[in-house]
Amino acid sequence: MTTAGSTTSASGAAPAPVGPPSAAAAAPPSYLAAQRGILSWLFTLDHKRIGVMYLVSVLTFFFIGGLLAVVLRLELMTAKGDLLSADVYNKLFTLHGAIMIFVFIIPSIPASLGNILLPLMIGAKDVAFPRLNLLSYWIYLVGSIFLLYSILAGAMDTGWTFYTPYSTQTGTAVISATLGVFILGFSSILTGLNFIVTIHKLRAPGLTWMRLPLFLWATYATAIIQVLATPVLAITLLLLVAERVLGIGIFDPAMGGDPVLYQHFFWFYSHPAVYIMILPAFGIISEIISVHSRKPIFGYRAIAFSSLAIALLSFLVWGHHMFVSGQSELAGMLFSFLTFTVAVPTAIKVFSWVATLYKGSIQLTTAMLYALVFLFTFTIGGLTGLFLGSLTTDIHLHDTYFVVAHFHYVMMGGTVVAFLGGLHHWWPKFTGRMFSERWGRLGAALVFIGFNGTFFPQFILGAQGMPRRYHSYNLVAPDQLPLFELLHRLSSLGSHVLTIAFLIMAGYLLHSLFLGQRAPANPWGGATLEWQTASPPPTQNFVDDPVCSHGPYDFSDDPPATSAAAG
Amino acid sequence: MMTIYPLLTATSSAGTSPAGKGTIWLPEQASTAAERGDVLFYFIYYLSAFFFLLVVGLTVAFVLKYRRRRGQPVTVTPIEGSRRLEIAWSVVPAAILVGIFFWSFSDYITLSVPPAGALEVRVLAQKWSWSFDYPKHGIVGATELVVPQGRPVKLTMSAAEVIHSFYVPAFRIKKDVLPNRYTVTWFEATKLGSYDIFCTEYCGSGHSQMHALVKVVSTADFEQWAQTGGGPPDGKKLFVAKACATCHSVTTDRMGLPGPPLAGRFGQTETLSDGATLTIDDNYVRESIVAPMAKVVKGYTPVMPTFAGLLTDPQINALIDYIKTLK
Amino acid sequence: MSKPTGDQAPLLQQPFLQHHFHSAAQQEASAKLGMWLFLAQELVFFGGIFLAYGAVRYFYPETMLSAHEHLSVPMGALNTAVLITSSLTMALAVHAAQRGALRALRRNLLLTVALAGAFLVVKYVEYAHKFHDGLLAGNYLTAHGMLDDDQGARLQQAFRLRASPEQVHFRFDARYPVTREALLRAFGAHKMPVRAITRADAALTVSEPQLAHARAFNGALDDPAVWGSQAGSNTFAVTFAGKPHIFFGLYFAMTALHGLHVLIGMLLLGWVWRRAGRGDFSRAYFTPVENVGLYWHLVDLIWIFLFPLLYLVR
Repeated sequence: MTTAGSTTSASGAAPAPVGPPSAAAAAPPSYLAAQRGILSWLFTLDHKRIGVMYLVSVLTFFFIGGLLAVVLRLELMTAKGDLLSADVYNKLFTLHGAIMIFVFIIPSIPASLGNILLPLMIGAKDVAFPRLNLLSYWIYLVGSIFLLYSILAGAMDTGWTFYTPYSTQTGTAVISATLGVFILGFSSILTGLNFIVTIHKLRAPGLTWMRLPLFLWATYATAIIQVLATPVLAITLLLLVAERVLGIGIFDPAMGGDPVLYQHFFWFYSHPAVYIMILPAFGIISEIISVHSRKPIFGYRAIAFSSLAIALLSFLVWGHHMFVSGQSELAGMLFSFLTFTVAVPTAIKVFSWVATLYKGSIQLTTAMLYALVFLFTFTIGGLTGLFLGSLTTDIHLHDTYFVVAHFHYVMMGGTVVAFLGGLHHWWPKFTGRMFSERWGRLGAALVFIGFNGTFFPQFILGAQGMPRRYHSYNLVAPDQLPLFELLHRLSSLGSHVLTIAFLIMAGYLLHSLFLGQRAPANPWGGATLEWQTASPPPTQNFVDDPVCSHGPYDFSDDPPATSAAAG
Repeated sequence: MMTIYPLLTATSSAGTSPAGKGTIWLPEQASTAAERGDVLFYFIYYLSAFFFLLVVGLTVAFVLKYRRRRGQPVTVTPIEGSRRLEIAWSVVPAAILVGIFFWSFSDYITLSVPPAGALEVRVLAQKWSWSFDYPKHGIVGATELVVPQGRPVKLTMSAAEVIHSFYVPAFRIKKDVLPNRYTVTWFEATKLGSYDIFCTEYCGSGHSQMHALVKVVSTADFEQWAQTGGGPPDGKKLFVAKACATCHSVTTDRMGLPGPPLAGRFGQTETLSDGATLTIDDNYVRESIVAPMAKVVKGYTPVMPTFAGLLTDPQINALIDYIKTLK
Repeated sequence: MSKPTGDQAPLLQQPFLQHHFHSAAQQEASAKLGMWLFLAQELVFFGGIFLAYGAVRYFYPETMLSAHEHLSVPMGALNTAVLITSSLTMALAVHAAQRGALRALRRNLLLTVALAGAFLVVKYVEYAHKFHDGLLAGNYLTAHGMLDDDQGARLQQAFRLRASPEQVHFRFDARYPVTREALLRAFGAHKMPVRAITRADAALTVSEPQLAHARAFNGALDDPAVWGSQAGSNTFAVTFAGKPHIFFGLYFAMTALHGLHVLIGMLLLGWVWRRAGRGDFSRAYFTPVENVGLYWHLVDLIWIFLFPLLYLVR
């Protein structure tokens, strides 16, 4: 791709943003340097700055949620439950889930990386509705404050799913938490809406749908789910609050309601929400694997359309969370079948990524290592989904640690690993600085070890019958107890390795922010538009309006990049 | 995926079930459902292992083979796709998945329909205990699920306040238990021994302590157990299971409950609402259970329902014995 | 889509054109698409509560039938007419904007706001009536307003207990006689089907959690011991037929959400009216008028569904 009016393309070795001489002479300041002061951030309309604010926020919440997880794992090192009381444990796992799901992982990739990258990748100056974008961030902040306030108000002990009638009866701070999630939903809806319009209407000349980077296809599919599924969560939570405050009798059986109806409502949103979390990760993996093996993505159309297929199918599979809830056998059959259909587009993606590596030129950069870790962990996460989608095996495994492990393999091994990969891949673009590849690779290796160490034992625990959300497991039959304790301790040990990995990551990324080498415009030799502007980009993104002349993974134009980091 | 199933079995030397031979992946098979369902589990397991090794093996092989090396020119074959390959890796997994679906569905139907002639047991789940009634045998409020080996058992379950879930890992069965409605599951135990019953739907503070045992005994032992009304009843458990605790504190403090507190009262003198006094003895406690309105303690509303017919004589005796122990 | 089309007039003549759009046409198309997506999510949002309604109607069809009798069809029909008229004035406003007729635009916008206000006034009258009767959502439904004047004057407390959600307990001043028959007559006169009325003086068991619950919803209650031991006190447990508390829970949830949308619509209409007065709009640019119009038609459309579902149950 070339920038209109520019004849040179970015060369990876160049230490400074490259453009035509005339442009370089009057290079506009980067978006980071354009304005100063906290208000210039809080009231910015620049999608990149909003994205950075999201990034800082979600990373903060990831840190808080992760800390809670470490405490939970410490508790589970002994069978007796002697570190925390049951009530405190129940509140901590609820907070861990609610924070990780609603304020970290749902906004993580779309709202932070997506916000920064979407206009850059389509060659636009901003998203379609910049003020709405800022409003989304504020709404996100308000929702987070409600959620955090619930901690001060004594926290809630319902689990992040807020199942009725427990959630209508417990004496804990359910209302502020549900209102927080309700408000966060609006942020998600407005972000999705903004992204759909932006992709439809603001693409640069020449950027046809079939030249759209796969990250954007994924973001687009995600945005559709955000707009069309989140309102159901909103109404569900409002009804839950009404049930609690007024006792209107829709969900609470004591008042004549049906608790399974709540589960239907909740999962109608929350299953598609799982794809809100994982689809953008798929997009990142497509970008990283293609760029870092310098090879066109294998089966572009299949990957693009499988994202849409997953988005549509995701609306039809919610009942697979309820195979043992007492719903009818017919419903169980339909939902099981539909669940298996989602596996097909997902398998297509995984095979396509592996095929992309074939005869490529693979650089084992940090970002690429994360993509490879993703292939490993997500494959396990996806395959273990087969056990849960299949009716009879699910009966045994439902609500055990097997589900916990599966979910974390998909969400953490999938989404978080891809998020980290994306963060490293675009870090030079966002910050204008290179990070230490050596430390980066060490971090990736430790994440891999720590993650599998934490969660693989949980598959065995679950299959052996360890129920989830258990504060203690002292009542397990004595002949099984040693095995359970061993596996729990391995898992806790893994969580400590993960902690070290994240501390190392925080260290070298912060170091790079202030002392890292200046990043070139295109350190990895990417072919999408965001690499054609300076690192970090100016406020207007591009000095001249870009025109797109080839596909996103067409590396034939440029000479191979020889990045400083290439092994 | 790290461990191949037949090579490792879980360590089980001591324990309540002498036959406790699980594998590293699954606990002991103690029901027909387990024997049947585990075949599918291992099928999916080996299938997953195959695809996992395929994906990771190819990834590692490609990374090793096509790694960009320092000082060597970058050579790339720009392959954009292969229709044949893409169709193959769409259709083959789809076919396998449909196969798994039909397999699991046919097992599921078997698991959903209790066979005729099954032993019927009612299960009541409440925070945070299980209790079992055997309508045919007149046993109410058993705290352990005692079942005969080799005979189907049908469980009709309901919950008192919130959702619980009935789970026996060794039987591979699980079903949510809801308030205001009945859910049904069934099993046929194949091995003698006692097995864990867990609650797997989060239900509050005592969720992880909501545990009971299912005891599989021979048919003869079961008949004997049933004849004796379900073995010696446990007063402390009955006190909770029969909701005595809802109105009576087991301390000396009334704690705002409607009924008189019970600790330390046995053997003491009580003033009744009509001004009469009496000594609290076995007979008075028994009368208060079966005919609560007869002699009401002064200062209390006569609101207690009768438990005549709801408790057997041994259960009443057990409750009296328990009340005696309260200090 | 990828190629910006439409008029390429210089920026100076288009002060409304934001910097990140290439052309007015692109900006307008974006705004329209955004609005349609917003409407789609609104439909899903209300779709959720309609589904809840459907489920309740499936569980308790007879409740729906009997409880809806308490809603006033004339009031509902009046409000339907008011909203449909407001949709017309809104359409006229958009038409005026297309012609560049700013006076007509402002006049029709004002008319629309006035009709929206009229809708809310009627809704207020209906709500006030329900509040007076005690036909409220869930736990708050006591129907105490249906008692005749004498009984009403002697009523000290009306409350529900969670353990028996179908029952409402009425406690009257013990010095005056109130009979079962009188209560039955009072509810009968208001078409409130009653399944049973029992004197609850002796039978009323109140545990601490129930009491806490009753207190939370009904204010301070006397100590249950005092309560029960007053053998002569007039406490009645009235069991209403069906589950009217669910119907009114839904009624208030649905109409309040819709009412909130009407209120937001009025604010938006006011905002557009002010901008029209400031001269922001012209034949070349009136997207906000169109988008607010779309929103207003949706609000109208939702009422068109609410009216038969709540008022005209068959």
